[in-house]
Amino acid sequence: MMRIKSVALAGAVLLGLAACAEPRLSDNLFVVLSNEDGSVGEITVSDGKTTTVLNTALAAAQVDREGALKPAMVTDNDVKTIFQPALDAQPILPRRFVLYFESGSNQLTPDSQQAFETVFTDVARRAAPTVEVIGHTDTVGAQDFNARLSQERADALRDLLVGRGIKAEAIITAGRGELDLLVKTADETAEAKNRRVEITVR
Amino acid sequence: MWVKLIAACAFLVVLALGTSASADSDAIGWIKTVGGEAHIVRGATRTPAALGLPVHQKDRLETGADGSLGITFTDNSVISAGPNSSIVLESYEYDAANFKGGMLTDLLQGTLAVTTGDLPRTSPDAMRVRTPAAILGVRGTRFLVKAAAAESK
Repeated sequence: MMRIKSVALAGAVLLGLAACAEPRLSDNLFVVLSNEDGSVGEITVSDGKTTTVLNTALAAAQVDREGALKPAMVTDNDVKTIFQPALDAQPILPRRFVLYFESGSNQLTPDSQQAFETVFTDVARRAAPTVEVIGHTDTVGAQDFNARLSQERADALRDLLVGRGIKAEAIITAGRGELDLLVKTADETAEAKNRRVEITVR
Repeated sequence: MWVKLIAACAFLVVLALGTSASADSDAIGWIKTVGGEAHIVRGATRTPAALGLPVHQKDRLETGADGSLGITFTDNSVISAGPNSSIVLESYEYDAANFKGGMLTDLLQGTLAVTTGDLPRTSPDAMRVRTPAAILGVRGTRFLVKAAAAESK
């Protein structure tokens, strides 16, 4: 009984000490993380008087209690303790796809029919997807014909997604005709890489 | 004269139809994750944040003690907030054709995780995050910010 009491007392004292100790990191904190591929970007932090450049993994700065901007030492553990809820709330990053079409048609090439499955899987794994589909053509045929064909290609992609259960309201389509060539060519040039839709899944 | 008028009307109809999929032309991004208590404050209106809702320039986003939310913007940047956070989408402009524009996000208090999109591609000053204590210029790509409210700085 006695022993339990003293342990409880020691615990309370420790807790009290921890609460009194100055936390190592302030509530005004800036941290750079490495990217998934291991590269690191760069941010500059300025408080009006001082500017700090942060460009290595876990490089950090903080504004201390005296209001001074200073470098800070931050560990993976600090990141978890302070930022885990914000990190857990990060949406799935947007992803881009390009699918290709048969000449003069809104039919996907056989390869792109296969690749469509990857697009569908990516849309389907998101809780609230928004999909942007922009259609394009090569320079064979008149401009207004190609404007229409590019829209038909975008619409064809939308219909494929809707056919698999994706809500039509989540899909935005547009056609750019032959105005935005992926491979620059002269007019009236067949180019498979230009007969495409560009898809952004968010 | 009439021809012009009819053409103009037809153009407007096409515009209206063209945006039917994205009924909200003021959308600069969408709510993609929500946890616990989270709200969008737009002018005098306070709406619970729900999956898929669009966000606008000047919107204020608030999370409660158990709250979190995540937004994906039209430039493909992604931000997310932890509990007890308050964020104002102070300004946002983005042209997908040339990656040009600017974005200023205020973190009034709380925690924010950011992964940049296409905006910083043209200008390193295109994307900025401001807290009561400091302002950040962003070249990329993943970073974290914690801010104390101005009065408790």
